[in-house]
Amino acid sequence: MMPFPEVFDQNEWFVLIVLFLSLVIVYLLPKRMPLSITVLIMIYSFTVARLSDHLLSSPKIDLYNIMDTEKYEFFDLILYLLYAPFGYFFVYIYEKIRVRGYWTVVYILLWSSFGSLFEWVSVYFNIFTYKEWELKYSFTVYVFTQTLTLLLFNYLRKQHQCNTENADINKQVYKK
Amino acid sequence: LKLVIFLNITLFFLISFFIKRKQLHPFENIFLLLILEFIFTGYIGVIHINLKVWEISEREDLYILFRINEVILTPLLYLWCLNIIGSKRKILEKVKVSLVYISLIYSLEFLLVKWKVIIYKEWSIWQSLLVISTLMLVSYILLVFFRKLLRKESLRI
Repeated sequence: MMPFPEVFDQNEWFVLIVLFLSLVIVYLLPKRMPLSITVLIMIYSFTVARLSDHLLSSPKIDLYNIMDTEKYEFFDLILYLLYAPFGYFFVYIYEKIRVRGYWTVVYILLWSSFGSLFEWVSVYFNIFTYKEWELKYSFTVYVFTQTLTLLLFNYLRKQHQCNTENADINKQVYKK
Repeated sequence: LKLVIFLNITLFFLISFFIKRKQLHPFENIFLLLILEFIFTGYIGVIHINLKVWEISEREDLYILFRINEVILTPLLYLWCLNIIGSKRKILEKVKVSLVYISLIYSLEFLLVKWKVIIYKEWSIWQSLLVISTLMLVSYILLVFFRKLLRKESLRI
């Protein structure tokens, strides 16, 4: 149903190594937000990646390929997991350095540039094979999705603070 | 015309969904919607791209219609159903609601088959019904785990 790679080469190794390293960093970082918000941000990150890839790279539109073939491979699934820690880092640093006001725009632009740079490296390792797609389009997609991520994060944070029965818990989980 | 009809159905459904009072907590609704989108697009990817047991119409309007159904209408129908199931206490009531919604979700797929948006190839009704039921069950089990986490954080649910 979901083909495994015929040759286990650089793109599979790249995904596994980056995923492992990023998960280790997530584990080692001190917790700054409730687990429920972490879970939702992580699921949001890989679902948005899945949705955009599904709509843009499926047969009729076919702007690019992911991993080795046009099919939905097992390693595509692993690749989506890679978006989860990056989504977490994005909101973690946002919360840690307390980005507010117009600095949010700068923050999104910086992360979109980082996302584009990371994608450029991914293209080098054959994670993505562009057909009609170009890296500059990805930048716009990153700006859009990262803005949505911050909107979602702020909404979740507010909801969590309003809905928690014990206010002390919020003081513990949102370390200042 | 089919696309216009379908767009109208989707819009009316979206309006009803957002004005309706939800039985689940906003965190649960977001969690379920994201999970459903991820699993459902994966399922479509496997049966349409990998196994090629579904063929999607080449006509542009019907292709858009299919995508609207896949990304908006069907996941929201599942979510609506899970909201109702979440509010029911008795298992028999949960099963009854599930059966109604499974037939509703399948009716929507059947409409797309009749309109030749989806063309079955070595695929039959019972397989669709099985997938819909499984997806409903898996989402519900995941919801139960997520709810436990929310309770642990003392969220009012």
